[in-house]
Amino acid sequence: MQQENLAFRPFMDEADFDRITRPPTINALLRECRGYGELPACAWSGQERSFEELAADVARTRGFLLTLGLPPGARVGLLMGNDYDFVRLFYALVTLGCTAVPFMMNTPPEALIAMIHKSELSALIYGEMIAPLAQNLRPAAPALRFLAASGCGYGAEAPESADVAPATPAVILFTSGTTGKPKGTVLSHGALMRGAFNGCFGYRGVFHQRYYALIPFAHVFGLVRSLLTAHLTGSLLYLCLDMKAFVRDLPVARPSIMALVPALADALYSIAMGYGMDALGGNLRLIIAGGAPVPPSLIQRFGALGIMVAPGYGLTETANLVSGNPAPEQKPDSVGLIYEGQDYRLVDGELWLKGDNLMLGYYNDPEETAAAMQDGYFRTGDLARVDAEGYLYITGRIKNLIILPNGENVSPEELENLVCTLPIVKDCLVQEDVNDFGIPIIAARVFPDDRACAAAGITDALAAIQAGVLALNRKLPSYKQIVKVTLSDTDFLQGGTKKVR
Amino acid sequence: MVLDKLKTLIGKVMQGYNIDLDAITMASTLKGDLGFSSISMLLMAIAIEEEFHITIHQLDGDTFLTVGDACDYIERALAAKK
Repeated sequence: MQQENLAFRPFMDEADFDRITRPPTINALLRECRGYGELPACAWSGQERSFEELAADVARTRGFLLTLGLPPGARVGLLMGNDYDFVRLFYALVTLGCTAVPFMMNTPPEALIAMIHKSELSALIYGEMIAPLAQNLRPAAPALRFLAASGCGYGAEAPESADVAPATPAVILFTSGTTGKPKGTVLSHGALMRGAFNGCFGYRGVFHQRYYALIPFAHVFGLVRSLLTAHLTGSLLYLCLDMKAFVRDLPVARPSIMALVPALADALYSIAMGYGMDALGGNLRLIIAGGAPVPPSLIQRFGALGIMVAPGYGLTETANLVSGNPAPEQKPDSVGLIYEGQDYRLVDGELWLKGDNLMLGYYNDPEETAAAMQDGYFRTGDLARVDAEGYLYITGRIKNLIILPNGENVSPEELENLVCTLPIVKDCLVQEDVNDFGIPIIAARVFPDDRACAAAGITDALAAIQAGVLALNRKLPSYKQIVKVTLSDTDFLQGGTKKVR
Repeated sequence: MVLDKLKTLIGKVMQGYNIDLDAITMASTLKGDLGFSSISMLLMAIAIEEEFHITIHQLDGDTFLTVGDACDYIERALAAKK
């Protein structure tokens, strides 16, 4: 019987709690999963693969990958949606001792090129949907091997690498950071499996569930809490091939558990209200909510429908799961109890973490890694407190970062620099605001350059700047777009370059 | 024609937000003028696909900044179908 995370036991079925295991590597996870045999592991558009079939597909995908002659420990990019190709390629790569580098599909091309170079890829495998973008990337990385996922088929069954250990790097996940400069977070097999293991605690009905994979696997929340925890618990993962398909998928997927950002959970609630519970598949019991602060009202509204919304807290650098709330109705403001295997400190209110779920560092970035760590702890940049019963509360941020309800993090500094490239702008301050309907948006207060406006014959500075911002928005991913522009009659300098916020 | 249909869809997606449909022009920005969230963008993409029987590429939906962008995309997709 396992003895970790005992604080979560009162909130769980004892048989479930005792049964949870923590494989030390993803290789060990897949070996363990073979024991689930003919139970379904993945499903999508009328197709299904059992755990046995998945293991065989992964072994045969390894056989194919070996024909590519990749160097040991090669880093291989995966630019595709949440499809079965991702699942088998990811598992095959990491069990061979390679590092998978999944990219979000909505990453702008310039940022993708920077990430490709930064992570020193040996190959980039892309999905069909992304083929035109992959073609456009080729000239910027002429030495890189571009492979279509559909062309990465099956070879003879090949064994896993015997050299994979808990400390072996498994993935590099890119985060934008506070300056907007992408950082590649390296997570080991051990860290990912610690995260997947933590995902098993704090609720009833852990094993043989039905998950719907809506959050991208290129995001730590989707990779760890959807893919890895689902398979660790012998659960079915229904693959969301296209975000737009989720409304049509749910009645077929009939998920019992979903990992969601609050904005998507809110959308599900609207669907349930408008079309009834069957529109969600009629089977949903638990929503793991993370990526952004979870409004207590969301917990209450779903609670009335008999669905538990469990907020959690985690970062890419911590293999996602730092804490999870097993009692959201009693403690709706809390992100829950801190999972074991971690040491935490509160230093001047800031949460510092240490543990085997922590990243190995930022790839090829000793300076950023050193800046993020202190005394062996990772500085989260989040202000927190812990109550007498051990529940964690996130109360604010030290780092200047906007966190939107869809879980996207936006660096104001990056956008300010961008707006300041407009010749008629002297200074700019980017902040979170809400629109007339109470929806959080990104807003820019702009101090125009009157002389430049006069020289250009511009009489309506606001209209000109709005047009300029609209043009800038066209180059930005949707979540970074500046929605509201207002004018300021002063700049935002206060003693040097420090902005007033 | 496309604009009129799109206005109706916008009204449905933003039901309860009291959008003045008559004030919508090709230059209206979805997020700024009409108050769209990332989820309403997604719901509108679904509604457009059903109404016009076209497929919006997952990444193209992100490029709709204005009502005009969506109209142009729909018109191009309809023309390509013929």
